[in-house]
Amino acid sequence: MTTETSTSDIAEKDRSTGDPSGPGPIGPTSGGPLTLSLGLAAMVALGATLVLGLTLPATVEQGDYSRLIAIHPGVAWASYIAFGMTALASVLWLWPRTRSGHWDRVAGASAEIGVVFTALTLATGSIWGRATWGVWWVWDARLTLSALMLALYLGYLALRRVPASPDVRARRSAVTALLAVTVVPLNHFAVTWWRTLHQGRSMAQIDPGNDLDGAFIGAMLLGLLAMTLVYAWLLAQRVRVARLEDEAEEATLAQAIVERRREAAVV
Amino acid sequence: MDPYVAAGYGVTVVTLGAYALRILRRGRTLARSAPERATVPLAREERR
Repeated sequence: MTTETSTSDIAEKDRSTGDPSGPGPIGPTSGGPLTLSLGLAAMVALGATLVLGLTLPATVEQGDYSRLIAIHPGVAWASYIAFGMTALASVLWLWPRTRSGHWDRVAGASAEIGVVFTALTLATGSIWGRATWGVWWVWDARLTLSALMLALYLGYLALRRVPASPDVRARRSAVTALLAVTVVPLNHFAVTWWRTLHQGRSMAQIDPGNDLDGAFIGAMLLGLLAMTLVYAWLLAQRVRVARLEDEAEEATLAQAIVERRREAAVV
Repeated sequence: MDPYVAAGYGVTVVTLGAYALRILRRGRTLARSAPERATVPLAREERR
């Protein structure tokens, strides 16, 4: 009979007892050749975006500043898909048939990456605004909603750190994520629904009849692809780290139990 | 190169690079310490 309990045994026990707070299955994003290929593809796409974006010609309206089109819509897009993934993973955790600690980790990891991309959206947008509008910031609907989105998801990440049992933490995080994601479509369509200083939706530039040059559309689309790949690679890595963190936490807890029992035996 | 364009590209590359490095280093540290915590002598303690 075995005399030791490994962390993998603990994980297996969580799965067999249906404990939703347990580590759950390692998804296809746990590392290996797929993640390596994804990382290489992301680096190539990001490099191509930088080269293509920085070699775009200056425009009559904005001069050199229009080169930011290769970066700014891409990071904004990545923040949308990150928060969308957080909402999807939250639904999968809440749904009893698919409930697993894996989806809670995916939700948390994706929200963290989304916060990084939202901060970049605000930073690059602010730089572009300063160059073209003459101000770093205006309380425009799009900008304000982007800032609200950042604040909401920072709050979501703070909520995940509030001490609670893993089950309680995952449940309240999932509900909060589903409430927070409502700001994403609101933000996306803000430039259509309200009169804003910010230009119209970037994707509308692709419509026939729009006068944006093909090279700029190409750079923007490449930027969208590059940021999507970067997001996917970051998510794969962050989920893997989250799983290792959970295992370390379980091992620490198990060690504390052993020490407590040892103390009780001495007494 | 225009300073605003350089700032826009620079902040993006530096932020994403720093965040990626942070994740990789954290993962490496945790993975390295994993063998040390791989076994917890719970049952051995229970026999006492």
